[in-house]
Amino acid sequence: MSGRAPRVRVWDLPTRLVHWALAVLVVVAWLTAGERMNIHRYAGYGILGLVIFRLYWGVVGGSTARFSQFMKGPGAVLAYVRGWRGAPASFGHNPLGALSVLLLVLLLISQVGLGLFAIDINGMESGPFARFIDFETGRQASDLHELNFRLLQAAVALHLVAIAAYAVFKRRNLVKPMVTGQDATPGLEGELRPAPLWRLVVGVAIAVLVVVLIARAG
Amino acid sequence: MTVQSSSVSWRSARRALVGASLALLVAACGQQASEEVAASDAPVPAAVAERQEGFKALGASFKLINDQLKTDAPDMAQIVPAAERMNVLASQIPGWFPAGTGPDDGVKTDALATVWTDPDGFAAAQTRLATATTRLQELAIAGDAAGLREHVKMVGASCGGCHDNFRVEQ
Repeated sequence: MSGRAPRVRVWDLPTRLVHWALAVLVVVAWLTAGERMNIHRYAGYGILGLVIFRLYWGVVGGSTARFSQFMKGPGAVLAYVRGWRGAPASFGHNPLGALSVLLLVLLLISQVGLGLFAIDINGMESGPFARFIDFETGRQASDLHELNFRLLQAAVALHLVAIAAYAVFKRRNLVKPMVTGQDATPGLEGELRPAPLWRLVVGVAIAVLVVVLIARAG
Repeated sequence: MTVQSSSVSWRSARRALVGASLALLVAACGQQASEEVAASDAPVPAAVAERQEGFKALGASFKLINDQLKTDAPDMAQIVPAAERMNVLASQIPGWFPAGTGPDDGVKTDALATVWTDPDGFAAAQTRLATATTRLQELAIAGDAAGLREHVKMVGASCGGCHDNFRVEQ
């Protein structure tokens, strides 16, 4: 029992980079919205690329990044919630956190999707797909883009509250593993099976290609 | 006993958290809904409807111009009438805000009271736009795509300048 628990690798580098890049770009997009629209647009393209990559990585990436590995049925989620206090530390996402990942990804997709069609009230700044719809529809996309952002904010707030809850009630630091990739929580059982480098290269290529094609549509 | 009570308190804390999140969601949706209800309650004065249509047409025309200017070969046959339309509409703006159609008159409007309390400022903002759209029309007729691409920034800033001071914040 004495000494430090061995560190185990939990998150691969692409998963961590995507996570923190998303955190930074969402804040950048938030602060530049309606003000510095060029930066806002590029932040949006960046988020789009990161989300595309994350979806891809969720299928072929490192084991803890895969949806099939962490998405659990309602029964498992309920059981986890009921026994939350005594539940052993999960290796990777726990069944409830998996829903949070899903929620955040879905809200990011709808956020970027609406932004592609949004147009400002002056008829001056617009997403690349706004030219395919009329002004008033584009304005509605803008309104929904703003409403969806409130939902995204609420989801991020919930995410942060959850991290705080693990720190307070379970004495578990979830932030550090997302930075270093390694978790020293005692009793952690599991093994990260990393994905080969070529899959990372392919994923980046796909994400960049899709973003460039979309950005050029405008 | 201690385990029991702590799990109960945790359950209530969890409930509070879920409740707070739901309340946040409902509040976000409710705000939207209440605006729509208010809009349908009061009859919209003709002048308000006219100016709303006018600004939508301004926005739609400006969007058409900007969409064209983003292409490699902007279609002047579309840009010229849109620029003319904008210039006509911009000159009509002073007639769209008769007394008694502001927020202080119980009218559901996104126009700020400053339109009526600061008539000089509002007139200056309108003049700025009308001057910009006149130049826009000239450049369109001249077929000067490069000049238009530069000048639309001025037009957009004229729209924005008025929206910043005389319209509720978006």
